[in-house]
Amino acid sequence: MSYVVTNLIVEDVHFSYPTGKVLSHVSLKLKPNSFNLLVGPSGSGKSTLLKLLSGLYPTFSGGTLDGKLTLDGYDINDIVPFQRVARLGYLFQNPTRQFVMQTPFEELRFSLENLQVTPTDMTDRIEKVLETVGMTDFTHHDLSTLSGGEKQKIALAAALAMDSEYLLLDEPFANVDPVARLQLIQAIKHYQQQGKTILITDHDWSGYTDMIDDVFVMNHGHLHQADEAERTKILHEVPIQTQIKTALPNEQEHIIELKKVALKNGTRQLLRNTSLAIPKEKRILITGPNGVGKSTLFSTLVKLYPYSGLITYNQQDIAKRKIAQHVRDIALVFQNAEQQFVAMTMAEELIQAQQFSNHPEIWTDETITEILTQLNLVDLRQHVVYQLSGGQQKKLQVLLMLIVGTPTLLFDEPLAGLDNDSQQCLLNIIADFTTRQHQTVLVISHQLQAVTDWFDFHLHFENEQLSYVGGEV
Amino acid sequence: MQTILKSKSTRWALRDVLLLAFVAVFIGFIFWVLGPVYNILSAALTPMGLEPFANNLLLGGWMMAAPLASILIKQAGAGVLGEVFAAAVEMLLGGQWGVATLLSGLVQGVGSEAGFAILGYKNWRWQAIFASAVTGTIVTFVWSLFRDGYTSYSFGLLVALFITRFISLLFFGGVLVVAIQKLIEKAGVLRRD
Amino acid sequence: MNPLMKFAIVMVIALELTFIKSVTINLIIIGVSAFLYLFLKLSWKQWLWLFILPLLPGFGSWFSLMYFGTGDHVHMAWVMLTRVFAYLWLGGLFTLKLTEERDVFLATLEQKAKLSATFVYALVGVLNFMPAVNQQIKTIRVASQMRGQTLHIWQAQLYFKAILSAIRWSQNLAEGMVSHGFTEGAPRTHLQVVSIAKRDWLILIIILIAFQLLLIPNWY
Repeated sequence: MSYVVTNLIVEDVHFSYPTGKVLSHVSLKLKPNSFNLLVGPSGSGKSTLLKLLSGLYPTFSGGTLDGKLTLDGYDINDIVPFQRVARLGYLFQNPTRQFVMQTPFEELRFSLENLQVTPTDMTDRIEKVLETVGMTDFTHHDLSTLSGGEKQKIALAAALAMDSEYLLLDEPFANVDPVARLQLIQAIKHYQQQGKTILITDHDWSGYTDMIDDVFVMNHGHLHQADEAERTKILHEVPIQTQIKTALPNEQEHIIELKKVALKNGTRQLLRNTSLAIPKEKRILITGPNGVGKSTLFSTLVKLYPYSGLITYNQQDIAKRKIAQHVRDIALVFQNAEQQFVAMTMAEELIQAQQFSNHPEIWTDETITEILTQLNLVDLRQHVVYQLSGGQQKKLQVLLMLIVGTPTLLFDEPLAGLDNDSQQCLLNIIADFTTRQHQTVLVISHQLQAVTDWFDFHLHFENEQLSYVGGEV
Repeated sequence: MQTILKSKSTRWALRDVLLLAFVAVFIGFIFWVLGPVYNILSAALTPMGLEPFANNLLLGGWMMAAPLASILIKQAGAGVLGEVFAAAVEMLLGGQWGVATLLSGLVQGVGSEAGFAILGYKNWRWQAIFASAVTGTIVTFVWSLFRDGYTSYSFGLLVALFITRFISLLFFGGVLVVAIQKLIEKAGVLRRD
Repeated sequence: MNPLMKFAIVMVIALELTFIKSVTINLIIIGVSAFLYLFLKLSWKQWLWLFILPLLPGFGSWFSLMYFGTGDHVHMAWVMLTRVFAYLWLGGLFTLKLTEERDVFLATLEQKAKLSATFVYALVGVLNFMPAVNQQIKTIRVASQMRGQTLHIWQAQLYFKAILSAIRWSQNLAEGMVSHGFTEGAPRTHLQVVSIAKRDWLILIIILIAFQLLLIPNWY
């Protein structure tokens, strides 16, 4: 532990990419030993600010940084990483693909070796932090088989092991189930009580509202500290838990049937002995805690993940269906939009989709232009798809998959990262065209407030079980 | 007070080394997926004594990691490293040549990189890419004279094998790599300062 | 024995085998490897792998040399057949035990061979990511098939997509490593300090000298 209180100064910081400004006139003062919340809509620049503070940007992003961003008088970017992280810890939103080693123990050992910790202290320190985050039982497990929440606990353990005075957390609970969330909050709280300063970005602060000292608000790259009135207002707007009202399916025509299906990730059981049917031409919502296996279920349905038991599509065993034919009947709108592009510009993508469409009569040039206008994409036709923003990519991807018009469409978090207006607009478009094209729609979504009355049925995935809920409308 | 120095700019930046390694693994896997096809092809050609053609026909593919690493990292040594990474992956996946894979990887990397070296590591466009296909063919062919016992083949077969290998490298290591480079540039996904 | 030392021996001998046209030497290598395997407690699958895998390239070369060779081609055909087995059996001494010895191998590379930590951990990273890469390639192909395009091995788009993933993943991992304090060119401490026993050096020297002596009489 350092003897001097590390001094973080953020004054009049500007940051921009060639494509546009991200942060303007950002100044930030954190009181020692305080717990700070940073709020703001997605895409407003919160993550960018945290990555700049952590020193990862602009080294890993490119772009131009101006203003004063110093730690104990040194430019954060000039400080070598092993000294920087000893003062300023950083936790990513998504713990996937951040670990270089195979097990939690090795990853922590790697981190401590980087910090040049004395070998004799290492094992103790590793055991201690793993205990703090409640992951002792997983010390030598394979990281790739851990759930999102478990990975995030390991990532937090790595940050805690560095014993830095500042801890920056970027939506650390986004990929975490409620139980893990509480454990993580406890660990962070405990850490702050040791005299540390915390800065966290989040959309939902239920469970730790009483810990928050100062609130900062980011809007379109401008940052301000909330005064007492605004602070109180923000801290009281905890998201409402939406009630989803759906019926239970009855003797419908089925498109997909699962018979005694089980899914595993390594040695972890995701789904146990499940039999159920998906009715044709309906909209079905799938909910459940993060990491429970919802995305894996979708991968399984498009033959990208092994399973045991029997899955049929239109009464045909999917194991016996050729993949190329299978995905013409049932397609997945991947979480990562980039994966689904096949051309270079938006115009080329649209032409390709039109040519392959199952319903070319619906997707005339006029219709497409109209939809593009609704989605605010119409002026971007000549843009390269890989250079669109995340939200624009997502909207385009959904549109392309609608144009293709595959009979069954699986949407994996189609609304993530979109603002409220875009969410509503996209949902209307999905509803309109999937109805006209007689499609069966399955959706994994956490944006429940946007989708309350939209679904016919609701499947809940928890504790290795997948089952229909609802009925008592 | 802590000595906080300006980070030494090392020749091999972490990000570049990781990119190179990942490219090698991805390319290695793409051709690993092709393994069964190669096996069927070579099994079919074996009784006729034409099995070496299967190997030569696909060699350009096994060697793609080298020119790709060169055009992505644009640095001396990238090609060799990329190919060695790819060979290590192939060896670990259980390639038929065992440890010899690694030696071949080294030779292939050197062969491919020679093309970029001849142009003084200044040109990373199609001219250098094709030059690397030519040097790659020559260097690996010399290696095959020893490793694969090519010295004992009749001259006619040697010429046919050389031409097959050259075509394979021209296609996979030349035409395809140039096309990939165009796509990467158009997409603007490689952010380099 | 330290896996890096084992690796060095195996590589030197493999390199020499490339230039030695001797069925006898190849058979000796196969025989000695087989003898060592008796102590390594291989599974039946690994034995099967050792026998089946070299068949195709081995007989591939054998047939072509028999049909299209000149000069000492019959001899060369047998050299190639045995050489392919020798390569794999020799290499197997290193690779078949690598799963257990991986960490020591990499640690030796870093601490004793003084390979830059950047390379060592890049290697560690991609080794750990190999299953994910395999899955990602399948995903890339299926995602395009959903758009009606099958990506073939001769299409630039397939490689472009793969490289795009490589770019994104390497960026993520680089950020992850740096946020865990990894600093290029900086010293690191080591929980497990690797030491190479004198005995290992002795074995290395004896084996390599013995192998050279075997070559001297040129009696093969």
